[in-house]
Amino acid sequence: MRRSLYRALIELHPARFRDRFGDEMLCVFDEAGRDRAPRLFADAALSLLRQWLLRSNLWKMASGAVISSLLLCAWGNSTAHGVDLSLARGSRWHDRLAMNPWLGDREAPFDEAEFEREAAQAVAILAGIRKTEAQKRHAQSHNAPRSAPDPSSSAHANKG
Amino acid sequence: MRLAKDELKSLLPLSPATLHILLALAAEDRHGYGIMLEVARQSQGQYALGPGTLYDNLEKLTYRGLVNEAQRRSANEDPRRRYYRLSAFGRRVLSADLERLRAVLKEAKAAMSPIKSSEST
Repeated sequence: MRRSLYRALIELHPARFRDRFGDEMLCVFDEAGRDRAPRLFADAALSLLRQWLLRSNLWKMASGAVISSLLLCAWGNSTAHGVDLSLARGSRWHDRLAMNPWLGDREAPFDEAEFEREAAQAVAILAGIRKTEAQKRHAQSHNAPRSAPDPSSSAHANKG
Repeated sequence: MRLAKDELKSLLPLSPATLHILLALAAEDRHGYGIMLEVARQSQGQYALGPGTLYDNLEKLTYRGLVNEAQRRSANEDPRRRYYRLSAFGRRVLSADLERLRAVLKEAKAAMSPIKSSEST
């Protein structure tokens, strides 16, 4: 039962790590004996988090999603006034919308400069991440011997 | 040569897990569980290295060329076991980090000695 559970934890690891070290981890579990099982479970759970969050580029996808959301919010915030006021213009809701304190100044025009500023910030963050990654890859390809696959770039291996 | 030196410096200081793993492999080739036991022995049981942490570090160390995979010792052994060996570059990195630690210890001794003498008086 314990062994099956530990095996299941190993199976949940990214394919790159599981294929390379899964059997060895299970071998260690078999050798370590029952007394160490709780500690090994805690270690496997921590390893699972580490491999998915830090080593599998998941954080990059998450930061990409956050930046995309920020861009969308910036765009939505800048254009919302124009859209809902043009929908409501001439109707009895126009005055109410214009007076709504939560929506701010309803007659304010689309602030193109502000939108561009926010978009430029988001693009700069994305470019910074890409540049850092490229530098890291460049340094690794020049300095390190290619005896094993890159542990940090595992997008290809995580398909499995 | 300069590139190798810069690369060596960029790896220092070693993390506690890396330092213990390289130390465990300094004397002989070991398999994963053997490394765990040796690390526990070296640290008098104070540093417990789990398989998740061990293999995460071994993956990085093999990629950077500090550790290589070695031949299995005998055919009777569990086929899942794999042995690891400290490479020449790994040995140089370990020596450099031990030298750094020696310097830190020297500084610490010099800094602590006036405190000790004032406490004793």
